[in-house]
Amino acid sequence: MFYSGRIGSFGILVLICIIVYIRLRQVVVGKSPTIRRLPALESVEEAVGRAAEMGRPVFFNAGYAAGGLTTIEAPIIGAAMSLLHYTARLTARYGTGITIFLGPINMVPVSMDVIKAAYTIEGVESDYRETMVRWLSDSQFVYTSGFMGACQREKPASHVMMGGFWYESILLGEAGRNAGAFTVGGTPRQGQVHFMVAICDYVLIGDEYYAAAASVSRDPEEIGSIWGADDIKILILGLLIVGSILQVLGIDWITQLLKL
Amino acid sequence: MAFERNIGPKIVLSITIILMVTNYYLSPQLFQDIGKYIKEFVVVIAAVMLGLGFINALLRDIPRITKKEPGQWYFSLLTIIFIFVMLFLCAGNKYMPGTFSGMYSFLYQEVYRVLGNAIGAFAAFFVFTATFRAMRLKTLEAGAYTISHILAVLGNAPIGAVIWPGIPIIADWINEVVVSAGLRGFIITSSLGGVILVFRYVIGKSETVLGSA
Repeated sequence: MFYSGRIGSFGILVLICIIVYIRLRQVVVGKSPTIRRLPALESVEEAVGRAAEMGRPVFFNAGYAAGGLTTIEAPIIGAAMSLLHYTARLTARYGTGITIFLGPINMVPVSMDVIKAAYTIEGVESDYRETMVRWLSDSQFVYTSGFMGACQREKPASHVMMGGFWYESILLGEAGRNAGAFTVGGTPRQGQVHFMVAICDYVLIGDEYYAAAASVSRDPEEIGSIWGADDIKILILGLLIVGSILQVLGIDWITQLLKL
Repeated sequence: MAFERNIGPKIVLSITIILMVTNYYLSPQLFQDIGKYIKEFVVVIAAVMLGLGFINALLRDIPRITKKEPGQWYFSLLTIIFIFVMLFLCAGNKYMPGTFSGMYSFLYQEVYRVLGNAIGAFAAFFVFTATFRAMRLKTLEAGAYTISHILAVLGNAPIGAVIWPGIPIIADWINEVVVSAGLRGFIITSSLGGVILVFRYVIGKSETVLGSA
């Protein structure tokens, strides 16, 4: 029934789902953990405020993320859409306007709907423009050069780059910086984090990125998923420590169990 | 009877995710066939989207040209010209390869790829400017970053071993122990975040990927 070697990972997947579901239910019935504030997420409001003061646009970049929703990048893009919604609501509130630049073409209608929903919630639906969403290209360097050109022409006050970035992250970030933009970044892609740290004023790294995407809504059920994630991290840490000690002692049953 | 907005797409999303997960874990032929059909379906939708993108490009750019939109109309004109040139050459390459393949290859290999490489080369300069900013010793983190960076650079350059033979050893240790350990923790937590997000899609607790929030 199961492929050899995948039973262990399936068991872990089921365990993760059960823990998260339990925490979601607990939050619904009124138990809620305290969630630490993420400076990078709070700096998005600072970025939008800066744009309002300077009278210049806010640029949002979800990354080239080849394929978008049809590839393994889909969860990253999904989280980017939550963060776009949050940023778009702030821009609607401050009246600055937002422009998102996209690589995957399948994200164009999704982004339009997300921004429109944000403007509707803030009561300024009439300020929404379809031109807020710019599809540049599904080719990495065409996308990058298109964004660099836009930065030089329009001089954004702030650049929020959150999504699935590849090698173009440094080019996009530095193009924004050279145009004088305040930069906030975030990506769970380990190959790009060091670039983000070097480029951005504030950064969301690793699972902070997903936690931020969940916490922007302040929906209790979203908070429950963060709580569940923390439980699983403690579990993984325990498993690593116990597994390492047992391995040193020559007992490898945890390894064998995971290899099932 | 009132239906929640997006209930249809949410159900499709949940079922598709569950089917693709079963396709990965379960070996019976039925699950493999379902996974194969879903992947083929994605290819078909992508092909339809290309056509839709072509029409959208025309609808967006032709009015910009006719209205002579400041700062934009010439880019739109170039876009439309190149869309039709590439379309013509692609069709020609398919039906009369003897006549058109040279022109098609020339535009792709000698223009498109070369321009792409030129943009890629910017990275060399931008890595330098970003590193210069990041290596200013303002905080403890910036200090650790700078020291590791200098050791990594010197460890990978022949001059490092000439200055002091221990530099490449320290650089290797940073790379193999510190960086590897950090990256593994990073990969585990990032993957966990992704799994939980997908689980929220399955149970319908997150729907921004469908376009609403």
